[in-house]
Amino acid sequence: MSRLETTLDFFAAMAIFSPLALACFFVLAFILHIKLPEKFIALIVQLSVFIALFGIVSLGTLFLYHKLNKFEYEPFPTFHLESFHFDFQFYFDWLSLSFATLALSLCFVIAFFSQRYMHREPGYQRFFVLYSIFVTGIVIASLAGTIEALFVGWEMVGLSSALLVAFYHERIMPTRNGLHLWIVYRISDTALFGASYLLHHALGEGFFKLIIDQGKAGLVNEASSSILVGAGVLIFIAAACKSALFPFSGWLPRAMEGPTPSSAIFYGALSIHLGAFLLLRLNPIIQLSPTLAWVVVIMGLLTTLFSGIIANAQTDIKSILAYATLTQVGMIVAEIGFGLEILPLIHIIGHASLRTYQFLRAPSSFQYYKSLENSLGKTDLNKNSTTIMPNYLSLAIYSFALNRGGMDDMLERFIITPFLLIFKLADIIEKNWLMLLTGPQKAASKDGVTK
Amino acid sequence: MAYASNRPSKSCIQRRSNKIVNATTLPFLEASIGICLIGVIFTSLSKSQEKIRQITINSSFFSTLCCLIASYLSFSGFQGYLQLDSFSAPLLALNSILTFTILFCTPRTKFIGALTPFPAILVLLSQIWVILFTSNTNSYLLFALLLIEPMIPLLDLIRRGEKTRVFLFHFVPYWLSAIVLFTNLLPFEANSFLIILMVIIRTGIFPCHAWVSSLMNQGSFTISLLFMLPMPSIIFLLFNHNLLHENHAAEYLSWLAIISVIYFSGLTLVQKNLRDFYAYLILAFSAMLILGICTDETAELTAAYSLRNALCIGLTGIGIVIRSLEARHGRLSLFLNHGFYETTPLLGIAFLLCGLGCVGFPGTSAFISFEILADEVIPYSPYFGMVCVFSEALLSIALLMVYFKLFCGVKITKSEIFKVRLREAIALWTLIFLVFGARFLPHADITSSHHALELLLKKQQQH
Repeated sequence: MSRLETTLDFFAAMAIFSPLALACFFVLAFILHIKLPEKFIALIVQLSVFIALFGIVSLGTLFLYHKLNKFEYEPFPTFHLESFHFDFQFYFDWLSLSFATLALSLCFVIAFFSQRYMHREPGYQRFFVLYSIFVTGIVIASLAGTIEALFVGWEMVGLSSALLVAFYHERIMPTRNGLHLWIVYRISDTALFGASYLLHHALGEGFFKLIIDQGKAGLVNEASSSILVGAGVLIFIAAACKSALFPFSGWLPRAMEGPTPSSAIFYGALSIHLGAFLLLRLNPIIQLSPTLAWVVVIMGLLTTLFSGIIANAQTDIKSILAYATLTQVGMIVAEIGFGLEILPLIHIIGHASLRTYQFLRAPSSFQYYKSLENSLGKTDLNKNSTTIMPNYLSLAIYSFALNRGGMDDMLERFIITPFLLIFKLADIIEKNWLMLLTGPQKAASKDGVTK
Repeated sequence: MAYASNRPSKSCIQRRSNKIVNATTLPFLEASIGICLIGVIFTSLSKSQEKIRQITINSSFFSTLCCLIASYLSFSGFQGYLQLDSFSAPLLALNSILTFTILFCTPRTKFIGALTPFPAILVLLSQIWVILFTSNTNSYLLFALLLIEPMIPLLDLIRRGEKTRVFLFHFVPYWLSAIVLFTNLLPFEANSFLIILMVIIRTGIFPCHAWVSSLMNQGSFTISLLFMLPMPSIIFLLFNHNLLHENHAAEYLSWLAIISVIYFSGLTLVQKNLRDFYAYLILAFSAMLILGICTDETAELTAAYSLRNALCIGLTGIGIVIRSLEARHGRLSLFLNHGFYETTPLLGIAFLLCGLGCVGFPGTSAFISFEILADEVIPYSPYFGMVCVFSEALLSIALLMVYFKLFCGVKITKSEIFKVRLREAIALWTLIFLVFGARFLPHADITSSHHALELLLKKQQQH
């Protein structure tokens, strides 16, 4: 192994294992009920994220200096069991390095912000446990060189996000919203698993690298296009769920129940862009079918349109920002659908940074508006706004926007309720069958549970 | 010279090594059964509940210790009269640890001051049964053990004065099938179907599952856990895998299993009673394992076997959490949120982590096993694999939903009475360690299981 390779391995290990070690340490301390002091928690979080960031930046510098395009890092040997293989590898190229640098930079900023924001919060340690799992997940997902590694990161991001939404768990609404997010993320996981299965059976071992390395041209010769298009559809569903694209955008305003730092970094900056990153990474599959590429463009633009309308009628700052974020994410997805590569990446980096700033300013937005009004000498900044639409139309659109397009209601009415109804009916049949076997007295005694 | 005089002589070293060899050839496995039997005798003679508690836990502890030593020694080549092989040794170690863990953290209130006395004798008998079943490789003995096992929950139901109709409705055909098998009343081809019928009843595959929910609600929860969690029918099928591939039995069983997986996973989402939820959770996972066993691929059998071990750990953890919560608050419904995290955070963490361990979250021991299972089931039938993945998603949703219902959603005042006891904490830490720490990279575990299963299947082919 050359000296350069050893150095690259060292920095790659720094970037990956520093957040992983932090997550392991925090989870262990949390399980064993070791109460860590606030300052210590903040210090090791900042130190760990800094080490990871340093590793990534150093890798980037080495890439520039040695004019490298890619680098593979394999911390564990591939596990083989007959035809099954489990490959946990990382792949560093300009796309993964850019996204990982963005993720770690924002996480580093949030680590400082959270230290003050979460000060004396009863769940201070719990917040940083979930934060560390999230950072580990996002680093693994962004640097993944195999579908297995991507899946690990993807699931870690999902779990930590759901639990962060339900962070204030003594209230019922955050827990409901956390569960809603978890359901959408599980749909995303299932779709990603389905896609990975199809790709694995179509392209064989190491398909992820094949897609990254050879692109669209390499895929055409490898497998039948119908399987790849099927996989592309599933990848798009996985990305749509993760990035809250239309019609899955209902979870995004719900996710704002969590603490502001988590809203800023996860739903405003990183989680929301992870779906777009996946599409960007596996774009050759999307581009194989022009129809699928157009579907991606249309869904992206629809998301932009819907969220743009809805954002205008929201009454709280975090919801406004959430839908404003979606307008840009929709545009990023549309750009990816058009087959662009550099523009969506720049768009992601710029947008994520701006939204993080805006979300972090959200708690002090009253103060900000007050200073703005004082500077301008006016009290109502929107007083002179005029509408060109007829009244009935603007009212209809306003009502539509206020109800967030009724998308949550529609999903609940047409998908969730019928699905649960089948099992509720089955449960009633089960209970009756048990009552028939047991006799009425015993079945009645089962209701003695505390309600 | 002084140094030389202090050195042990050659004969002394010889004597010491003989002692070590003698110690390793002690019949630890037989001793573990003997200890439990002595415990049963003393428990039946004792009147004081406190004494019964001490005898039960101590005899279970020493029995488990003997099992662990026996398992360890079997790897070194030392055996007693009962023989352990590379398949049964880890199985015995894991199952004896789980049985002891369940008993070790049983709340004191279950023994002292309880309306119905704790079934200490039945628990020890369960432990004897587990040791015998997991340390055996003889198919006939395994079959005989499977037949007598349902007597334990049946005796428990009778002892508690509960109706046994539901249980007998399912297990009378189970025993009748066994009688028909022994008497050779039916043609040879029908035998495999009878055995499959017995497996369906014992595992609780749809439509023979009503007894599970009934047992969970009416019987002692500890006995129910000890009866359900070793999942003996999975082990039995692994030992008699050739039976499945006679007369398309595997095909029929896999169809029933796939229906059960999706049906029970869906039912976990709509349960309003915590014990019913737990019953359907076990049933869904058991059906998933049966699906894994229906193939003749060694990789998938390995996945099913190691997933079974991982599920036993995770489900034991969830069971212990449920029992601890019920010991504090009585039977729990899932109509309302309870907010127990404030008073018992460790129970909440354990519930969540063990649940994640069951659904194959990355880093847990079930992760790779589940990946192999789903990946290998898919070539068998692509729909089966997708149903498995979908059901796993449903189960994970149900688990998080129940976690929120039990531990979140309400602010309740902290109280010292509800604090997690040290024994409970030790038991839960052990299980969490087994879910995560002990198998963070479970490659070695899966490879050794695969090797053991290959040997087992070779033996079956020779017979």
